[in-house]
Amino acid sequence: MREPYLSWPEAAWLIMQYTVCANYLFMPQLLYSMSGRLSWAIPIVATLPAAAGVWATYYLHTRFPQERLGQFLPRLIGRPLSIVVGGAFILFWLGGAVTNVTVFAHYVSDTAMQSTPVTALVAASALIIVLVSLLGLKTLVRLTDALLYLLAPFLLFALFWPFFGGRIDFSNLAPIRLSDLTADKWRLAGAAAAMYHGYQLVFIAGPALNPPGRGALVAAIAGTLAAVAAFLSFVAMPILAFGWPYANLLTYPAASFLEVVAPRTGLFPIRRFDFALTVLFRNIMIVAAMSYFYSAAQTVSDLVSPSARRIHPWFVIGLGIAMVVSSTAFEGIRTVMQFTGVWVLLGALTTTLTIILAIVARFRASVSGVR
Amino acid sequence: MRRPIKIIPRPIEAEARKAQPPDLSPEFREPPVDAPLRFDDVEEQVSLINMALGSPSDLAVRRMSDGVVCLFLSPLVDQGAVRHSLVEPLSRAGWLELQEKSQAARVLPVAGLSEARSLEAAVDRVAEGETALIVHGRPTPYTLDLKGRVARQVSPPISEPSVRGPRDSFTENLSDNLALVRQRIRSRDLRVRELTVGLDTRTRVAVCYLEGRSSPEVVDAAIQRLSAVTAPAVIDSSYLVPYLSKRTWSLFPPAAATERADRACAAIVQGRIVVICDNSPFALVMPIHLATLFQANEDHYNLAIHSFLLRSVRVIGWLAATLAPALYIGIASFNPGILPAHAVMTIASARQGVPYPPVIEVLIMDIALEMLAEATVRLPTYVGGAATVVGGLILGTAAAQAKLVSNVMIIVVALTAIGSFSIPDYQNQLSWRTVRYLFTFSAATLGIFGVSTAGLIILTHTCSIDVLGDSFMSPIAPWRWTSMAKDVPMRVPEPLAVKLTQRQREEEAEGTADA
Amino acid sequence: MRCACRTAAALVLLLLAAPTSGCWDALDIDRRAFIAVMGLDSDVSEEGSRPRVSVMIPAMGMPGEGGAGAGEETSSKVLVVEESGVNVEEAVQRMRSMIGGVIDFSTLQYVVTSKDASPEDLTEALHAIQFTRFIPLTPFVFATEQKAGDLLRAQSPTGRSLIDTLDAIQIQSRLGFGHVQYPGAWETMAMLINKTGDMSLTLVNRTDEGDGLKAVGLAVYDGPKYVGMVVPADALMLHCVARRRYPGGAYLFRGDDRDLLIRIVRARTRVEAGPGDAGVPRFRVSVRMNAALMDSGGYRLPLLNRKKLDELEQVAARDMEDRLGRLLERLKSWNSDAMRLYHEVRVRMPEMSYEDFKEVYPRVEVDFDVSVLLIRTGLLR
Repeated sequence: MREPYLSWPEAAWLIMQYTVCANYLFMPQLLYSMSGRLSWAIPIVATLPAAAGVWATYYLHTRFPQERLGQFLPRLIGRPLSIVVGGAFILFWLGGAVTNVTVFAHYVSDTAMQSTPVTALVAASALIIVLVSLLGLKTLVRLTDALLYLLAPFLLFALFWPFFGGRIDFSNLAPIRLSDLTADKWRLAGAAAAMYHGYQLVFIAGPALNPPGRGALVAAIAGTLAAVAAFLSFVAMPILAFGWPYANLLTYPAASFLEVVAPRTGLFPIRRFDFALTVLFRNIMIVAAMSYFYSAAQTVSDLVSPSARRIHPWFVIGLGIAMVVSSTAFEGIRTVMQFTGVWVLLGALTTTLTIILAIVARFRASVSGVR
Repeated sequence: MRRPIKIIPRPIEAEARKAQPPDLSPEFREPPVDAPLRFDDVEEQVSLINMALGSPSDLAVRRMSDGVVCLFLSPLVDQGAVRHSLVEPLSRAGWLELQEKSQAARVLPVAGLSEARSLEAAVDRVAEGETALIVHGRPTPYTLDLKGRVARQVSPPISEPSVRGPRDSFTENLSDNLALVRQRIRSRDLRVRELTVGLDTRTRVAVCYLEGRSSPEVVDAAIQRLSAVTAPAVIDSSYLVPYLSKRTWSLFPPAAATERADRACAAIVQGRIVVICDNSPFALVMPIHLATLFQANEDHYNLAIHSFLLRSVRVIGWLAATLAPALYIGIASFNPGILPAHAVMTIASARQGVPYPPVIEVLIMDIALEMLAEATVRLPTYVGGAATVVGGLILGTAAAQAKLVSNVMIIVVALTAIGSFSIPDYQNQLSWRTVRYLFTFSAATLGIFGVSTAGLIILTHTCSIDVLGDSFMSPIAPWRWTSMAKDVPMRVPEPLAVKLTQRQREEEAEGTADA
Repeated sequence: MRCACRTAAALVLLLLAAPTSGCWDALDIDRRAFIAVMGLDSDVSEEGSRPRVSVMIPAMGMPGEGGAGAGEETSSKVLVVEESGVNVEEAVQRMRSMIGGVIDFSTLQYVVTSKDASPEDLTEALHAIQFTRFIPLTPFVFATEQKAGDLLRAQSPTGRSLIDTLDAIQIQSRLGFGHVQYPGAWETMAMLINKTGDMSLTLVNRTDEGDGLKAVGLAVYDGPKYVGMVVPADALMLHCVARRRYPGGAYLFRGDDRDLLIRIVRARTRVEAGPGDAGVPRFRVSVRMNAALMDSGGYRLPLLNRKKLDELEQVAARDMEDRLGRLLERLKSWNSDAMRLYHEVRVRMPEMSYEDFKEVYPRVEVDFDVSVLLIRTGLLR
């Protein structure tokens, strides 16, 4: 990167999108299956591992401010281990991109476009992701910035309108049974550890931060907190509106919630509110999927050739094709949800690895970044 | 490739027969063939210049006195200036008083007197419209700037009319245009750097900017890129755009072309550079942003709130122009449930009996609209009105009554037309008219989902555009809140704008301009 | 490298055209048959009951639909198709061979269930509606004492469509007896699945003359089973309690030796539950109402003091409390928790399940506390 161009508010927004993405489409039902009515508490519990992850990422960034993950890993832990650790991150990020794109394609296919092959929907999204990755991180950052004006009003609407629309009932959260929360401790721990991972963006965009150092910390904290609010909303709102166990019966609770949150009158200009918002939400999904994909592609490129200035274009296209092909392995939304369970565990692994890397860096003070 | 001109001694007699100066002015005296020519170097230079220019019939050769000859291309020279500045003074001076430039400067009351570096250079300057003064004893001629121009008067702008604001616009004369700029910006910091581009046309180009306001990197980049122009001909300023932006295939204009002097000067004051090209009434403003392309100059002459209203209307028009046909296809072919039931039934009823699918309807009407717009531009004024009426009839009532298209489609196309014409910048308008087809085809394949896909592609493209190092989407993306607050959603009143500009400069100085 | 990236990007865009060019979901709007209202009856036979589904499809291109022009005949044309099947989906599939257009439920606005529809058919139908793609979650649900299919054929002499009539009935309900409130299909479903109370659906019938609709009261359910009907005045009070916040309606009561009519403009209800004797929940239902006293047949009040109005407030409140008490007794006899009392029990007494509550429901004690703030508006004092 030639000069830093990413301000901390932009990084915070990108980190939030990275986390929120299409998780609204599958995270609520994943959490419902773990903790039932009390699953809204998981986004709050998950702030603890997120804090550790943020600290670890920030520390690594201060040690290697001008290097990306794939560039400093070999010097920190040696080449063989860097491939293993880097590979975990790559799998997680690529899995995130595949998951987001595929879940969204299935959702659109289930609700709006039943005859269009899911592969076509996946390909349409995947090709945009590849397009952005080809154009570079700067384009990705600007695209995310531009989407603020579209997404922020919508997110604010989705967060606050339900309170005025008379659709939600806080008594639906009751009764609160702590045993619900801890019914499946291991899955809960994995989900909590994996939930907020947007700060991992600093591993890729750290060198572009302006100013570096403290800007990364502020961005990571702000972005994560914003993601907490969004996640809490997406998980809690369906329960508040539909009640329990009805919310748990829905295949896409957050999306169904958006359908009923629209003003009641038939005079509302858009009748299928969820569908119009799906289009807007798609923008969230696409930004997150781009970020995941770009992170994966960049890390692979860095591990293979740390000094390369740009990712080779045919490599990006190849990864994109691989993304589309791998999405065809899913047979319906159920298989995708099974995969997300695995993906969440990968996320927990990457969070753990981040903390371990920071500890290793702490003890290997002699290894420092290129300035 | 031109061969350099070499002075080769030739028999004087043969040369005297060859040279046939075309000018028939009474001052011209052809020396007698048999009389010895004392000023053979003068004749040689005359002959060489004449041959280098291809013996044009409009090359005037005037022998002022012994040993002093002037050459010029008649159409490019101000005859009155020649008479006053050359003929009259030289009638009292001989070749001896013109040996040194300082001497010549005392004799000739011409500001643009210079010595040509070589005969080659003298030929070029004569071709550009200067007058060559060949003096016996001097190896190279003097050149004098006595240019006269065929140019029109300053007139109101044709492509950028306005209700409020000045009525003068650029013309094809670079000097006049620079005068319009300098009349408005009388600051000592105004810089005008001139270059010559185009191997064949040798067009003068001026880069105007305010020192201390414009970024030096941007100015240097622009100068460098203009210096590297390889086009043989630069007939209009638009020829320079691909060189300045380094984007050969661009959907959006990287520079705003304006014929309004006030708009160009406002851009200079804002810190942009303006490239004015001789023989072109359109100046290029760079770097330009997408948000700027939706601003009209009147925004700064009306009250802030009025400007906000008008800008909002333009944005709505832009959205309607770009998305209305695509949304119609998406709703009518893929996702009708997105609308209230009454609206759905209205559209369905309107489409009863129409044989073509919505996408064909849209394409028929869109192409007809484009043809009508093009015809209106090409036709002479007297016939244009009639064509508009006929086109409107065909596009409107007749097509609907013949059930070629539905009534709703008429409304959609009307919205599209009105919306696109509300976009202020003509090139920007054309860009979005082109983009509309991308949205249309995307909607035809994937409905609303396709519209969203196309929107993302366009947004990605605009986010990837850099013009002279500045993002095309700035200040929207990357975020520049101060700059955005000043003039993007709303043009704030001037006192507040001044404060915001001050703050913006402080932020840029601190390096914290990014949000 | 940057140029290669842009070339690759351009190729990518061209490739985008290939997989997305199938137009698989393209179906012109005029080739669709939009379902506006769906009806549910039960065909009872020896083999059991089967759902009978009826759908109303507004005819396109006919006057009266989409706006009639001047001078055109204003009558609404609709197509009603009925079919029965082993389940709702099968019934709909059978319809596909009867309708000239591709059935499209995306414009479904109302679902009407006959009071004779079996609980199983009603439950199954609501589940099918919620499950099926493209059917929104938000159509309104109401009931009828007649055959649902017959109701869909009701024609208004003014040319207004069935949808418009149903909308209008609800909109002006608060100016009328306030007994018309259509819950959304998802709200009805939530009630059935979450078991936080029992649903109550507005009863709408065709007029005796067959030329319109009339809302006759409220159908009350025990789970998915229809158990009884309450008259409009009781329906208003039931809505005020069940919905907790209600926009109100007109209420008639006896006061000052005459029949007086008040318009309730706002009603807020608070239900407090707690354990009572022998573990039977005890409730306190506090209803706060703002109301305006209407003319009531030339009834005049002093302009300079409120004493009379204050007295009338007390009378109206007592009247409402009595009515609520009688209503509750009837609901208990039907075993219908239409007031959604269990909604509070599950919060305060989480150990008590819905089934347990229904067992003790006839024994629950409820204190009704109604307070009315009455004002008098009008050009005569």
